[in-house]
Amino acid sequence: MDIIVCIKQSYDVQQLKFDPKTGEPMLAGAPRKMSDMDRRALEEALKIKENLGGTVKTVTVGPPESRDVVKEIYAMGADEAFVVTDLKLDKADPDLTAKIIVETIKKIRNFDLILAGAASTDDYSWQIPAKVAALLDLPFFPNAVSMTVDGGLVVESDLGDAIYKYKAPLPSVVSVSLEINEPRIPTLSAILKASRKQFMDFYLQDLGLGVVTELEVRKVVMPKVERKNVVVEATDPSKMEDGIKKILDELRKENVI
Amino acid sequence: MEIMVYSENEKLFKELVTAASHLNASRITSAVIGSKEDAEKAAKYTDKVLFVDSSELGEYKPKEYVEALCNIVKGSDPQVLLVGGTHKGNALAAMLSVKLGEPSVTEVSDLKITEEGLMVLRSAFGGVAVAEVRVGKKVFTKVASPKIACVKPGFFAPAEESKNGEIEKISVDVKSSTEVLEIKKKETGAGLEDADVVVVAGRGVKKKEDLSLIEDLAKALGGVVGVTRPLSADLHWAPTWVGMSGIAVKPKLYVGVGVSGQIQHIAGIRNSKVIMAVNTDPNAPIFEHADYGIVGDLYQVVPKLIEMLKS
Amino acid sequence: MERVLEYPKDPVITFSKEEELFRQMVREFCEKHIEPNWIEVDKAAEKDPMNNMPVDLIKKMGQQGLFCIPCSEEYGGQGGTYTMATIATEEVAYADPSVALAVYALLNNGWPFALELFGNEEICQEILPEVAKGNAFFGIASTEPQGGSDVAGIRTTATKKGDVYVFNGEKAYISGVGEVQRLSWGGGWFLVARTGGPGHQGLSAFAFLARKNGELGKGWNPTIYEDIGRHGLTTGGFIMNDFELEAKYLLGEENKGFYHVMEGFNLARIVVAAATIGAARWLLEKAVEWFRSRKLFGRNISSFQGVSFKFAELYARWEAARYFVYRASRLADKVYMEKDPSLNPKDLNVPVALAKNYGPETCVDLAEEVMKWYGAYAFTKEAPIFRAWLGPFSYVIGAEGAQNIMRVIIARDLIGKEFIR
Repeated sequence: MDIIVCIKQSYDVQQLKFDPKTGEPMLAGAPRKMSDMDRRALEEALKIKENLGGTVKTVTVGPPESRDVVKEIYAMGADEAFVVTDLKLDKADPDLTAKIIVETIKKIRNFDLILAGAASTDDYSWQIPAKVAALLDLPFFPNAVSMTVDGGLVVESDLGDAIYKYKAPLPSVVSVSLEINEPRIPTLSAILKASRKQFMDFYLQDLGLGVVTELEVRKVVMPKVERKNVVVEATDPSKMEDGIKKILDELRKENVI
Repeated sequence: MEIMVYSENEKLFKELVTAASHLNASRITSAVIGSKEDAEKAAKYTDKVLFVDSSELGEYKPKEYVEALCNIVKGSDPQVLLVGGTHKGNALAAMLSVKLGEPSVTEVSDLKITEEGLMVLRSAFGGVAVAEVRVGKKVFTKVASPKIACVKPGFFAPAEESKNGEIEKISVDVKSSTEVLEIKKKETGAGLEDADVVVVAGRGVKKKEDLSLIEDLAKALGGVVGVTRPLSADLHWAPTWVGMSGIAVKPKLYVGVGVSGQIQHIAGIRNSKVIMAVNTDPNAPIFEHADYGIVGDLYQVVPKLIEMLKS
Repeated sequence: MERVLEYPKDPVITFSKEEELFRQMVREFCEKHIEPNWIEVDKAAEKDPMNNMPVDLIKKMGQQGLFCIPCSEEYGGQGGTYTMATIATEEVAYADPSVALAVYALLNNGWPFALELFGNEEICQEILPEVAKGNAFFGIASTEPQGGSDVAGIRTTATKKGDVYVFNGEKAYISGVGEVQRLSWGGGWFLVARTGGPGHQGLSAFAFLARKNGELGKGWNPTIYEDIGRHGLTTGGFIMNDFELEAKYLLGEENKGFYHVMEGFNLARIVVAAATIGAARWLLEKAVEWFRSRKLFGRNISSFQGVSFKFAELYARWEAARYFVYRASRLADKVYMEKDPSLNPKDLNVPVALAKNYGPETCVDLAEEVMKWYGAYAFTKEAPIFRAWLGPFSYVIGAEGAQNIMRVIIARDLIGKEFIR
């Protein structure tokens, strides 16, 4: 089975720092890593390949630093990585990113299945896999918690109120949730072998596209955390009751109990 | 200006109606993909209902439902389409936007219309920050070409019945290559979104049986119990969790018991009036986000809390 | 987990993209498997070191390729550099500051590599793949009850009888005595015994397998000690009573074992120091977290300069220790991986002694200060800090080379052997 996986190199939100004065994110040089849900998508693709044979190719779109994610992509075991970069792609919106992914997929040409994380773990737009499907006029299955390829493709999508089990035609686009699997952690020897591998490196202009976006982000701020931070120690059993009483009194004053 | 609203979720639909009226819509229409009864319910909230009978369409399948939604939009002339921000809604919005050639934005918590067009506030970086976004460079011009915004549940009050809208049936002719094999309903999270008091169990709670202790605390406080993501997604102690990509709560009182306070969880509790935490680790991040904190062993503190609440 | 301290960006200590990705992957593994469990492991193993040994974790670490990192891939190793073994050890210690698992990892990187340096093809093929998988332990057995630092005074004898060596004697304070008994394949040690005359020129080194393929050798009688810390790794002793080992397990040349084990010690000491800087990093983060949350007399505890200045001094020492560690590991790579002709193994003596001397002491001094900053809470077993104090303390007391021996090595090399007699 020939699978294409869309993989984004996201900001590592856990490590993201915000300017204490302005509340704005300090993105310059902020650590990045493979988006967690995309990693699950790659793992799912690799598992299918291990069962059925075929190839796993990846498409990555982003600013030049995005190339760094290829090492991990190859360390996990993908066959070929395609990367499209441009300095301005940090400002891309979901429509643009989806268009670029689709142009790259058209270069790859043959595929049976397209996988992607349900959302990137920095932007969380939850849109790109669906847009890729719409642009390619393919069926789309969101937020898969399980997938089996056995004669046909069966996808279980967690749609909030219920889990929908679909029999999906091929080719289709499936986005995966964090719950779908536990991705492998590549060993050092896999990393070392991967570092010798080449990848397909494109500039955005090679695809004849420019950075044109409809969504314009005006401002991003972290709202100030203004909480009272009244903390009592209750590790010492003799002091526990006093501490708890103090808190309960405050809660009563706040009128929440 | 006409604003159309769509959500498969009844409560969220009512919230969207409120959001639409905040945008000073002169006319609010609703898209319904469901039964005639669903259309009649929607007619009580909006000026007009355009509905596709889901018995002609089958159960939710993104590609096919987008066709239906597209026909509905083309059957009217909305400048803005508000979609309920669920997995189902987000998928439809994303695909519809491609079909219409209009932008779609998700995770929206607030909206307004200015001379520049539709401006929204959306969650950024998974809920850690808020972004102000202009939706679409071109201001409203084309017919039946709405900007699309997916609104998060719980940010607008549900609208009251006030209208007697006209109902129009829209036809759709879709051949599907997808089969719905099974639909397994999930138990919903015990009314967490609306609860006044929410007590959440985190990793500090060691065994599933210990959740009964948390339930006792919730009962003593007059609230409901939730869990953090690891307890639901990894340990399967509950069907859903409180946090980003789970349920967002906005109670008067939130109590985190054995909750460390990862950003993803905080994103789901940020709008609580009062946040209280019980944790054995004085360095747990949750204490930064809490109004009141108790550093101690939950297995000793919680029983004491219950005892002192009852007296 | 949110990192409180940034890993310093550095023009002097640089890592390749592969090394950085590797560090990230090791950290991910540690966050998932080691960080959530290390305290429980320490507690459980304290009660019963033999039965509560973290065998599952060891197996997982093996599957993740955290052992035998510098060993050849043909022997099941990762084919990496010594620096990569150092990175892995540092990260494991950062996740488990009791350093039990970090020491398991460092021993099973350093000594298998030494085995590969001095052992023949057959025994490498037999032993190393099992160590790599986490099925066998391979550490160091040099110390004896009458002395550790005086390696030349070793009394255990290995007498050649036909095609076996017969061992008689006793080893004490040896890591892994329990692991060798419990892991599925078994394992043993890089063991030094007397094959010739007195002094350092009569010693040989062996791949001493107390248990292989699940079977205990005859005449090997172990005891397990009750350690005061670092419980997740067993310490013990064993008596050899006419224990027979085939001659093929001789490492390097007969009667040259003293020199071979000194090379091995140099390698092991680098990763020992790496473990202590990993644990120290955990301690620094605990300190910063505490400073940011703890208020006394209406102000943050770190607003008292007596506290913040001490922190700054200890941070400086940590950075310095880090330099010693990676400088030593890069030098080891030059000697053993790149086989730089201008260098020989003895060039590692002083750089390694500096790292091994400086790292553990910095870590322990830091641990003591952190406990003082935490106050009474740190005195309870509920607080994890004391575990990060006791584990590294074993290296200040003298494991893998006494601190004062490190000083002797430095002094002797710089001042001259004749002038310090």
